Amino acid sequence: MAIADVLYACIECGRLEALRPAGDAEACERCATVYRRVEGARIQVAPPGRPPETRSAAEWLDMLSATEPEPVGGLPPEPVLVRIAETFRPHWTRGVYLGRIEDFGPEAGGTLTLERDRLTFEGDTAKSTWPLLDLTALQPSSRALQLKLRNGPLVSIKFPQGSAVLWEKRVQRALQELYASLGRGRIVEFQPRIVTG
Amino acid sequence: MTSIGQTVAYRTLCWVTRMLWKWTGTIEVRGLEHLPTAGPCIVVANHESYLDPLLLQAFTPRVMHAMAKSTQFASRGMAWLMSLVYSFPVRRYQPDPIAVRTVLRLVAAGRAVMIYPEGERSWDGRLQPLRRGTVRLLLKAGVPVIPCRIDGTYDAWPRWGKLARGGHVTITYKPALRLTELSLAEATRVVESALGAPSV
Repeated sequence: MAIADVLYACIECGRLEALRPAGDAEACERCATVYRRVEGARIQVAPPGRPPETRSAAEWLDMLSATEPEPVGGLPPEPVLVRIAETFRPHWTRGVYLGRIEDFGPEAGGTLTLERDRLTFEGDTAKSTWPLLDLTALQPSSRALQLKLRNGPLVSIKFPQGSAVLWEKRVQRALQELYASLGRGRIVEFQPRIVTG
Repeated sequence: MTSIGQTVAYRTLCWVTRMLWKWTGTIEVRGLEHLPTAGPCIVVANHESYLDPLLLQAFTPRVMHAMAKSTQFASRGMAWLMSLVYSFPVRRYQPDPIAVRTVLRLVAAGRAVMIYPEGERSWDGRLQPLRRGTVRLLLKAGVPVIPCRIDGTYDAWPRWGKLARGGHVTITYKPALRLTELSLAEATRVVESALGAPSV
């Protein structure tokens, strides 16, 4: 976990997924603005040559959200780590059945591309395409983004150089735009299932 | 579902957590008079940090059966540990009737159930929209719903934080909510209002 997980763009220059580890802090790879967790969970932002400013993560996020959203599609492939749960095992406690637990397979490296109507994962050995209309749920989980496919597996995607928060926003936006273009209405909930209202 | 051995293990883990936290930070628990000492209830809390379930269970005299995401049970070791602390899984990416049945069975047996109606930890410390399915469950259960506001755990260990730091945490139990007779939207507003305001 890192500040880059929550601040998905540089506050100063706006570059997306730009924060990289820099000693005990993080720094924008383009403008060298330094980000540091200070008292409690407040984040200090120090642009080069200017006095640092400290705010809460919520305040910084509000500033990022106010910027112009990027267009869906045309994004470069993002390095990702993917795990897929195709099977489930029953979970019992003292003889009481409490449901099924996901059996995730091994982690596979590759890239993820978001297009207007699909996500494509290109791994070292395999390629998978997940049409957005086949998604029944979208949820962040710890540092991953999880997709549930209709009659299909649960896919967990980690973004080693990126932000799950940003990718959740991206996929949500792509879904909203796709649903709107098909006259399906506005999505009001993304989990436990995608629901329009 | 319970046994003396499990109760002893649970109490021991709670004691260890209390000792660790007292070494790390400070805590204040308010409004315990609002939490029934016996009988069924559902405690709903805001969720800002991994510390929430640890501190809530450790500093609450009653055993709490916590609903937790199913992926927490993915490894057999974690599944064993989660069961030891009376947690039960819920699949968050699809409606989970078994989790609903578990909650109803627990409250029918007079237990206290703990649920985070936001469904996940907040990235920025603010209350997130409540899951409609969870509010439906609160309406269906028909037992006292006790709101619990946790403050300070986000500062101690935010979701994006690499490490937990010490700090002051306040756990505030509030009077039971009367949700029966309310619509889903009204109940959602009532719960949001109870959980949203930081305790003074």
